[in-house]
Amino acid sequence: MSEEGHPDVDGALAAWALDSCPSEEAARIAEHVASCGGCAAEGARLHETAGLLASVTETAPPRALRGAVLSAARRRRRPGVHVGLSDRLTEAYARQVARMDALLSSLTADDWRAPVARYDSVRHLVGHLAGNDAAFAGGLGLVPAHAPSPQAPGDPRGVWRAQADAVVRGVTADAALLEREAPLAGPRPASAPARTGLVQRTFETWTHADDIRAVVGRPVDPPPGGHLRLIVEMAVPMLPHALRATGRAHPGRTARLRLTGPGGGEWLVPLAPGTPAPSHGGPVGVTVTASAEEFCRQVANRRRPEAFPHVADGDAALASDLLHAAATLGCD
Amino acid sequence: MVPVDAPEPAAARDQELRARLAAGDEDALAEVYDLFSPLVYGLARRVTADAEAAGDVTQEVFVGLWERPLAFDPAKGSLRTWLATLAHRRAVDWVRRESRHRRPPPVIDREGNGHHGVEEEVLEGELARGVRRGLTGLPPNLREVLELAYYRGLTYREVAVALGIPEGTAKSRIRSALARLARDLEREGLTS
Repeated sequence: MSEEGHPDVDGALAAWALDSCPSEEAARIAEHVASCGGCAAEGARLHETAGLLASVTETAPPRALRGAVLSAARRRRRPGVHVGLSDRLTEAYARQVARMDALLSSLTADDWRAPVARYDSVRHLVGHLAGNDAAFAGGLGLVPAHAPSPQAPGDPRGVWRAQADAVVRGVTADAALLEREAPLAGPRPASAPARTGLVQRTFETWTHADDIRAVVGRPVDPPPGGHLRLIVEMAVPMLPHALRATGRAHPGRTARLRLTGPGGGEWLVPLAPGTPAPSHGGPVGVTVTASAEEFCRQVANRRRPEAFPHVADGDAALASDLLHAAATLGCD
Repeated sequence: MVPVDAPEPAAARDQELRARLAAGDEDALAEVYDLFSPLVYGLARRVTADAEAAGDVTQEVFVGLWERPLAFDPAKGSLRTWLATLAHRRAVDWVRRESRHRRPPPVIDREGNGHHGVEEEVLEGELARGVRRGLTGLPPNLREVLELAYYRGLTYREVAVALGIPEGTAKSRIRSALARLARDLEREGLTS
């Protein structure tokens, strides 16, 4: 930008710092400040001086306001929940993107043509993944709605990676995006807060990377426990609806899901939507014990429920319905 | 009651409050409210000249901080400045929305004093006294642009119309007024 383009020259930056610019001009200056170190530093100094102007207006607020503010805050965000969570979600996704990229960069031309999982070739699988990523990224406005199709000949890895990077950059720059509604991948159209969608992107990227590892003869590479836990916590609340959608709901009944190993923990799962979860220690129809990693593979529908290594203590029919329903939660 | 800490302890306190807010510590929000609600409420009250709007702005600012504490970046400035900036922006938004319906004639307050009812306790600390001295020391043509632009929430275009001066002059007076005030306060040792 040319020298006369800097808004500090004619006083526009000072007016901007006092919120005294008309809105379109304020938006232009804010955009400039975001990309100009000199104007950003000057803007910060001006805001500091403006903040000093506020000191002469200090006035004790009405007493009742304190309670109103604190209870409104409690309604908008539960106390005790760490907001650093968004960093963890982004880190989990970025890790899977890096692992997938390293894997794809090591593939031979033959590997790219190999049939894999439900797809004609690795190339098609990467195209499918990029398509689901594009729906999510497009829903958040992070990529153009009509991005180039990764199915087209060319560079599927480059197209997929550019989109994945746009997602990581976008949610890193603006954690509030994760609170927006975004499309979920799956057999039925669905949407959820983008934080759930980002965990689903993490999950799908890992699942397909392991699909590819299986056909090219490499060992599986599960996410670390903390990231597996995010996937489990995404999937478990979806189980009651999945049970109903598959005609396997058991209203009033509950299962205990005891997941072991990294990412593990214990969950009480109502076996139909609307069934209140009983308190821990209350009666449950069945206790299913399995490794958290294997449970995630079950959710991805990468195992037949009969082949899923688990122990069911109680009503075996409930356990079977739970596992069949879980297998419909993946992105294919 | 009025936070006029030396810069270093305030920066450490800001860092700690931010971390506790991020962890979901409600007591940290109560502490931030007790420290800065007179700043936020008083500024919103002054700009909007409306007690109910000032209460709404105060609630939005503190609930917003609770929802997104990491949006506050201690490397870029103090929590005090951050909250004052948010409060001012929201108060100005309110004024601009209201002004589409009616345009109250701007009242020029040449003393830079507030119009507080007797029921409201105006809090005055060392910093506020210094800023008030700084404002009083400004030439009247600089003081009045700050009054209209900052304390009344007018755009520089509206300031130009209200004072019968060109828009460019309104902008350059705002710039000179802030620069001069910053210099005077620095000389008094009230800023770093």
